[in-house]
Amino acid sequence: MSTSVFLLAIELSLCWTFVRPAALLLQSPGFSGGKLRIESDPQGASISINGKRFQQLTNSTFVVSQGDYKVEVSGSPGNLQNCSGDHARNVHVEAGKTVTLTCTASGFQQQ
Amino acid sequence: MSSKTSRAMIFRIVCYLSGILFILAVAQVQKQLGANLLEPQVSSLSAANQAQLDALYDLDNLVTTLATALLGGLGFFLVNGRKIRRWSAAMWLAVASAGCAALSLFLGYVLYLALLDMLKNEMFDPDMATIMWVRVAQFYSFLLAVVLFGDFAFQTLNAEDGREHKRVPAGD
Repeated sequence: MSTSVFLLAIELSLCWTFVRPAALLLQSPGFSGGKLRIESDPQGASISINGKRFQQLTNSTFVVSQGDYKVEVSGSPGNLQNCSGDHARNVHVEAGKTVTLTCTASGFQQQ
Repeated sequence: MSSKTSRAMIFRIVCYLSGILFILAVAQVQKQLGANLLEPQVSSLSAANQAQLDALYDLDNLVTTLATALLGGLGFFLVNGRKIRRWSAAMWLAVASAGCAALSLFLGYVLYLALLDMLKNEMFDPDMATIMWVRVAQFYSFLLAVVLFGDFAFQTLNAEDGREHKRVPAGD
């Protein structure tokens, strides 16, 4: 076996051992989050999560990373006032799970 | 082992190590950016969303095709052109251009994976962090590859012109 073929064989095996596993890292599912469903009675209230206001109105579902979220629901048509400000709800969403929060006139209910 | 062979070996090892480190870095960046995800769920794409997705996909395809063509052009230059001295400036330009084009191809693949991941999770936001930086990096690494290729071609052609002039006898 000539030296160049030997070196090529070493190179290929090193490539298979080190480069391939690194490349496979990108193939694995990168997203490990859950879902946060925000409902209200009546529907059509505005939603804020972690201080960010969304265009989507209730009832809506959000795809989120695993972690803690501060949810606020307010406004028309029911003029809901017990789900925002001091009444905002902190929730924890785990990977693969769906957390549902329902805002009514009396405040949040979590399912 | 001669110094030339060992130099070439070191160069190869550095190339492999850089490749591995780059792949690991990209995977880490994608993981970090994906850790702060907060997107509304969409059950179906609107016509405007579909058009945006098509445009993004077409651009990814176009840059990938052009990067492949650039690698082909570079190969053509290296095989058919005048022999380029090892470790010369032109050689480094060719290596850098090929590296950037390869980077662009790899990022095109990462972008494709990120798009699939987005659709699989029923989201639609082409400006989300995991997609945006790959989009920009893919295009600009391709652009850099083009600039380096242009410089390489210019240097090579200039060197050939110089050799042609030297061959022409005085008085002609």
